[in-house]
Amino acid sequence: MRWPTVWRNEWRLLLADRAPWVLAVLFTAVALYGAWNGRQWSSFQRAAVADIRRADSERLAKLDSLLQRAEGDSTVSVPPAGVLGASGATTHAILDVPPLGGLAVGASDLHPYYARVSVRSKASFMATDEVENPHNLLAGRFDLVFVVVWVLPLLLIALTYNTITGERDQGTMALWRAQPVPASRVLLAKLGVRAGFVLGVACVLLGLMAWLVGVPLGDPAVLLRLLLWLGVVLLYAAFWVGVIAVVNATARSSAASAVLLLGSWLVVVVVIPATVSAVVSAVYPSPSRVALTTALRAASDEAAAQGDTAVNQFLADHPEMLQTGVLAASNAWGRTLAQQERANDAMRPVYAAFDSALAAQHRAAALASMASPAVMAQELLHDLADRSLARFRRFDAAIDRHHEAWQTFFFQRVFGERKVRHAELASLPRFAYDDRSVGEVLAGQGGTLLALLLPTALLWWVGWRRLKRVAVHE
Amino acid sequence: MIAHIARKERMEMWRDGRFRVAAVALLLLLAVALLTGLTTSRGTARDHEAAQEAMRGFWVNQGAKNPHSAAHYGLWVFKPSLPLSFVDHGVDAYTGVTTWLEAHKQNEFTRRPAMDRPNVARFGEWTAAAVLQLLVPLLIVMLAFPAFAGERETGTLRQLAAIGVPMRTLMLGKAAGIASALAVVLVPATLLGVATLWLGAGGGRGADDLVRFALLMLTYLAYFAVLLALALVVSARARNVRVALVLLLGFWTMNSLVAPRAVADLARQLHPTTSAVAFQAAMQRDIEQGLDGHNPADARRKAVEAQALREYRAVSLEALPVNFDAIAMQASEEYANTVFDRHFGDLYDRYRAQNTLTQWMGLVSPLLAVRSLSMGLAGTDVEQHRHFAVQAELYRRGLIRWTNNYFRDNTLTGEWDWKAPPELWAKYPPFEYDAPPVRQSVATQAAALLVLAGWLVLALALVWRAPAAPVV
Repeated sequence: MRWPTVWRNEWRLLLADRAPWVLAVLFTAVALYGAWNGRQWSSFQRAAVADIRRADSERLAKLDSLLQRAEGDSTVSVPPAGVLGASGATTHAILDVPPLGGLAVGASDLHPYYARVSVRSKASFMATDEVENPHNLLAGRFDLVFVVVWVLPLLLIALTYNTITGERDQGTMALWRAQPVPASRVLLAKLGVRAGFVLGVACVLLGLMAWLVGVPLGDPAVLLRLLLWLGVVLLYAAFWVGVIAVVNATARSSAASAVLLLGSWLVVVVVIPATVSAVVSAVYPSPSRVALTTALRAASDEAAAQGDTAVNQFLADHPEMLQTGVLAASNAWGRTLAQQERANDAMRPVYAAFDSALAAQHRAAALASMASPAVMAQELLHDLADRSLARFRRFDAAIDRHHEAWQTFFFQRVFGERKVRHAELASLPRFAYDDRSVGEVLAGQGGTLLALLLPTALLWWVGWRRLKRVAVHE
Repeated sequence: MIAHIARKERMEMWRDGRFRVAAVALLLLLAVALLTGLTTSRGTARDHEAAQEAMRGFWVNQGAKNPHSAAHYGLWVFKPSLPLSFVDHGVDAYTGVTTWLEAHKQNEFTRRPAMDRPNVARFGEWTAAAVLQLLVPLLIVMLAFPAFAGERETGTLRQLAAIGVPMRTLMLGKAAGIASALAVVLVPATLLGVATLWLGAGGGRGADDLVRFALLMLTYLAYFAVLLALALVVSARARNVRVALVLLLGFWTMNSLVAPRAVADLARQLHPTTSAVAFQAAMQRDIEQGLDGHNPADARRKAVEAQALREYRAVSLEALPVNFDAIAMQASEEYANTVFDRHFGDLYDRYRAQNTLTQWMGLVSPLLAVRSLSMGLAGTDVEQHRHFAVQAELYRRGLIRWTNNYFRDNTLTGEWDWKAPPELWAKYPPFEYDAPPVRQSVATQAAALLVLAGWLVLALALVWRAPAAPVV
């Protein structure tokens, strides 16, 4: 018998069965639910961001008209530069919902996606956590990434766990082994048709869901990202097909196969991640934010207690701030900000130690996570959809750059005792953040891709060898 | 007879090397989880106590200062880690651990520990609760699925029926056998838990914690009993071993791993909460324009002014024997407090509605009820967080009122440059948190308790009705 005949036969057998249809309906239901949740969250964030932008532009428009009036009328009083830099002229740094945002919630339910950057220290404006029931944060989101990483393997397992063992259990294997066709060809066709069915349904459904959650498919760059996203889904599924092939070819009975496969699923999706997490946090404990809060207060108090000494020290360190060399006694904002920066200078090593401890922990976790294809797949899917934790770290770095520019702009005016003029509004530092291109994402995730690809290839190879030697009886 | 059957079951299991390996592995995992849980819990508790003490020190030593400046300086309070959190960390990583108590504002809690953790942490963590909620049920499924289906397949079930063993007796015997095998894991784990609790108990809440621990144990025992009964009934009714296994594993997966997320999202959709931006804007609006929109801040200030003049029989603010600025500030604090109460109260009520829905969804997935009870009893649920948040806020209000009253009584209107003596700050007592008694923690778990009790009754009824099981 030739290949097409075998495959066609398997395809007919599959369609005659009820299980694939039940599973297809089930998958559609969970995918729809995941898509709905992703869509709702994206709309929620978009609405919040729109509110913020509206309030920002109203504030700026007010300031614009005030400064314009002040140009022609000396009786109109303009707030000092310190007030404008701390609130009057401030706008939010915003991390927009990415085009593929509806596909994944990722880290975006936990991390702030906007901050109202001011001349004040970063600690004062970064606590913009979204309002959320902690219980829901603990549970995590039922988004499409969850459907792919957790549920898709289960569906694959449900349809294929007894592909080979079932034939043996029923005694049908002995029958077709008597046919003039290599066993491996039939087994491959069986497994291929079933897995292909699930993956075909998955890809069509996920493509449809992408459209449902509002991914702008007309944009070629977005479409490319979506295709790559689906590619990762297929790669992750291929890993599971490999596991299924090996287990199916090895297990003595269908029950044993089901237990082994669910056991593997449990190990990959639950046991390894939780263990990695436990070991990493034991070896690299999280630095304490609580201690950081105390240290910051101690540093601020110290700078406040030093009073003029702190102010003079800051000005001595930053001669460019003050052309005249002396700070007027009446310059209250200058004194406040100089003290603040003095405290910040004292905090710099504390922050650096905190950041490096955290970075070491995250590096170790990323490396150890390569033990679980589920974690790697999730990481890739989040990254391609621009919902990864790394994106929030980049956003944070962009905020730092903007904060520095903002401070420089206003410090010059506060310490130079200059008011902000109307014409200067246009040159206020603007927040800029660019997401990485597809190429950059892929380049950054090359190691993860490889780490997912290697075990998959190995499993396929072992599976293929074992399929060729499947025994008719236990 | 029941004892005979139980002994036979236990012996069979014990002879099976896989059970011995699983039991030992589970016990080890539980021991490690309990001990690391204790280390983490105590570490957090120490960290927070130290920070709290440091903050008190800053407050006391802030030097001569205007009372209102002191109120703006404020202080940070830190959520303590309760003794039983070593069993179940609950939502602790997802609530902020500290809040800044300052004049004019009820701040939200910030510094969620989960925000600093790597991605992989959100797949779950190995706490004792996770082992009890995920792995012990899996062991129950593995032990119980062939109980009847296996005997039927080998034909021994027919023999047993032929020699007149009543099905109910068989069912009860098998249940007792598997339960006694499980006891090999659970009894040492419980003893270890008690020892850990005893080791870690620092405070004087011993009795309350023991009650909590006992209820926690009962909750899990009830849950295991439900699962064991379900597994036996499925095994008795299923066509063959394979079907029994697949059904039970399917149920375990849905119950343990899929339902918590699915229901959390459902709860968000049914009882939506506002965005942080809208939440802050609404409070700001209500403070400025009045809760009903017709009582703006200016008008309120005028009313306070008129009342002060009446009360002190003065003709002008300058003639008042006290500082009117402080009176006005306190009045505006009081008004803002009603606004905070309404908005924060509404927000936490929504959280409660979401969490009660989750408890009721335990009707479909019993683990949801058990998780809720477990966190509630360990003192790591959202209600516990709310309890702390309310006490912290009451402390803030007391502190701010105290500074305003001191300012009012010791100065005249307009004396903003006046400074209170440096020794004043120590006179306001430090913040001390009173954790709620177990009775109060259980009160918000009514739905979960009902659901779990319902499951237990159903499970027992199913076991009792066992004769319906087909022999062939």
